[in-house]
Amino acid sequence: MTAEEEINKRLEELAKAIPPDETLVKNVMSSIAAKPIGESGRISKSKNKLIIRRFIMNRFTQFAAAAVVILIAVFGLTFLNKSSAPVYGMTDALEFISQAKTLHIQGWRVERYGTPPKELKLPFEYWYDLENGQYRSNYSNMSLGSNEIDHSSRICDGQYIMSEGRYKPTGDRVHKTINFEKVDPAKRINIKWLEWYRKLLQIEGFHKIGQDVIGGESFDIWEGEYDSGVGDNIDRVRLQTWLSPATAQVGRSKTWRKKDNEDWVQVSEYTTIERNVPLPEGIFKTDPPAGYEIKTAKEDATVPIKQERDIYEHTQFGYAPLSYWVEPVFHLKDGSLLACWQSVDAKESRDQSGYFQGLRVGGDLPKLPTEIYALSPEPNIRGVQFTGYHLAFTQKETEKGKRWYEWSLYIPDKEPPPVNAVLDYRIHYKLNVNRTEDIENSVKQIAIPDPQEIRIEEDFTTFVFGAMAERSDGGLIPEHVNYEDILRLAKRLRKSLAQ
Amino acid sequence: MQTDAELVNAVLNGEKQAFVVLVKRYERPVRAVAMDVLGDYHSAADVSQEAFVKAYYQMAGLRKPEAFGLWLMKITRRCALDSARRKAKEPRLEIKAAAVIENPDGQLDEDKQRLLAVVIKLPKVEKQVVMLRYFGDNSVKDVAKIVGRSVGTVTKQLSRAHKRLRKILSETEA
Repeated sequence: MTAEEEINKRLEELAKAIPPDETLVKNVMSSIAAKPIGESGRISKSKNKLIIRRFIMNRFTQFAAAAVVILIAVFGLTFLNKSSAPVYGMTDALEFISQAKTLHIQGWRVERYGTPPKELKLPFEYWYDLENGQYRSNYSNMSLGSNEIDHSSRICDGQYIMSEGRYKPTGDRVHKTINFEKVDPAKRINIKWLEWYRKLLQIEGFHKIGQDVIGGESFDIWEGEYDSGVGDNIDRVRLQTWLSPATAQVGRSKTWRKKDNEDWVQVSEYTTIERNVPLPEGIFKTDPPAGYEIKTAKEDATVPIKQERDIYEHTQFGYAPLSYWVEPVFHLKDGSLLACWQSVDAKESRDQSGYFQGLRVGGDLPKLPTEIYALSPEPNIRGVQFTGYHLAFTQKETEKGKRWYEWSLYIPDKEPPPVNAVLDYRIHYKLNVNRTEDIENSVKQIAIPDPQEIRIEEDFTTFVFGAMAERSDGGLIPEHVNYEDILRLAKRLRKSLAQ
Repeated sequence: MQTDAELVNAVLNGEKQAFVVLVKRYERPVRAVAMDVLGDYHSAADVSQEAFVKAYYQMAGLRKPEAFGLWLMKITRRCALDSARRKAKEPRLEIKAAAVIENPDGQLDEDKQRLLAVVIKLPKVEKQVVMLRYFGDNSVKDVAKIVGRSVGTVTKQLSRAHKRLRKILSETEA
């Protein structure tokens, strides 16, 4: 008998020892028979209160509550304008899209090549079935070794993700491959356009520049600009969006870029953003197409744990052996972030247990070779920085040997931007290595994936505990980690940061 | 099969029969929670009844109808602790207080007591799925329906609970 079967059997035997009590239902129902629920003044009173509280507490109705406020304000304005039509704003569009059951998004981006630069317009199309966790991305790249368009797709049927790949081992022949992976339940579906739109929402001074009609529907055109990049490599980015004030439909979204005094160049456009549209039949089927080499079959698919990123591939130094990885990241309801990260120095022993000795919850981070000491939102108009504090660590035996995962709490030093206005977060790291060829410690900013929002304890249990269990031998979760204590710790740290 | 949330809303709309379904669904999980505190089958049965009646009258105050099961178990635990405190004040019971588990309808042996104590200490969500799966005699699919989560999530939560139980039991039984 396996360990799993044994525990199952023991639980079944325990359950048998507590047999059903036939009289209980009868006793309970006769106890309450004399006093129906609607006849108790106390119950009715609290019920009314609770309906309001339930409405405010629910994550979706929080938006609805905000939307009601907006609509009331809009209604007031339209009343003054002697018009009765509702007017939707940009936040409404974001929420309508976020809550849609299905989505269809199409557009293109531009790749430039050669001297003088030539342009190649690369189309993309996304279908999402958000109710069932299915999606399909049809995208395109420049072909390997030519300047033609190469179309690929990534399809998720809710359980498996099938991705097309290309590689060119020798000669001119390009190999087409298929890779399967299992869906990571801790990850939500990433809707590219939403990322784009969040950026737009954080731009200050976003303003209306005109009106347009698409397919008979009237749209306001909105525009805003911000700086993107690090150090000397800064581009000016301009975003434009077409928004119907009558339906909150987004008709079009464009991105432009320019350097210094150069002309604006359009780099991408979303031409279709449709919500709650019927989905084409069989669009999420994950049957491998003919002529592809299956690199990882469905039966061998696993939930991928991302490869570490090599810090130095982003710098001019050229050393290889330091790598790091930051994922997953969770956004807690008080604005703090909870991030899992690991860091490896290939020149060191794989045994990192020493780094985690003597750490205090809410204290310093482990002095791993690469220390992710802070995070910052992008864009970051308010100049917020999230400072890291140690929370817990987990360890897991993997194919590549034992891995140590640090779980840190990142506390904002000032009021962070609203979640829907953050595109992604950037990593601030310093190097704790001590070798003769070491470079000076430095701070780099590299984007990390969009965090998962944790609004209620159940989110925490499902996503944070789930992620911890996946990164821990035996699926164990550090005993001291629980939702309420973490929020309390975050509050205390925030207070001390403010002082 | 209706979800807990649907049944709670039905009760709040005056459908008393929906509460019968909830009582039947949670009768054994509730008694298990009470037994863990009281160790006595008969006291646990009394407390279970008290907990259900309390839950009925306080249902309008339940913020998340889908969390009914966890909320009910919390109420049960509170009722059981109150009952244990009341009993501890009675001189006759002082000597025996929570010392021996008495279950004339099927004694819980030491192993089962230990297992029950560990189950009760599982993280809330895991405890709920274990209770519904084993004490409620539900299939994984039914548990998923009751709690309004996907079958995959419930399977994962059950599997985590099993792992945790195995680990804790192997430590205490070593």
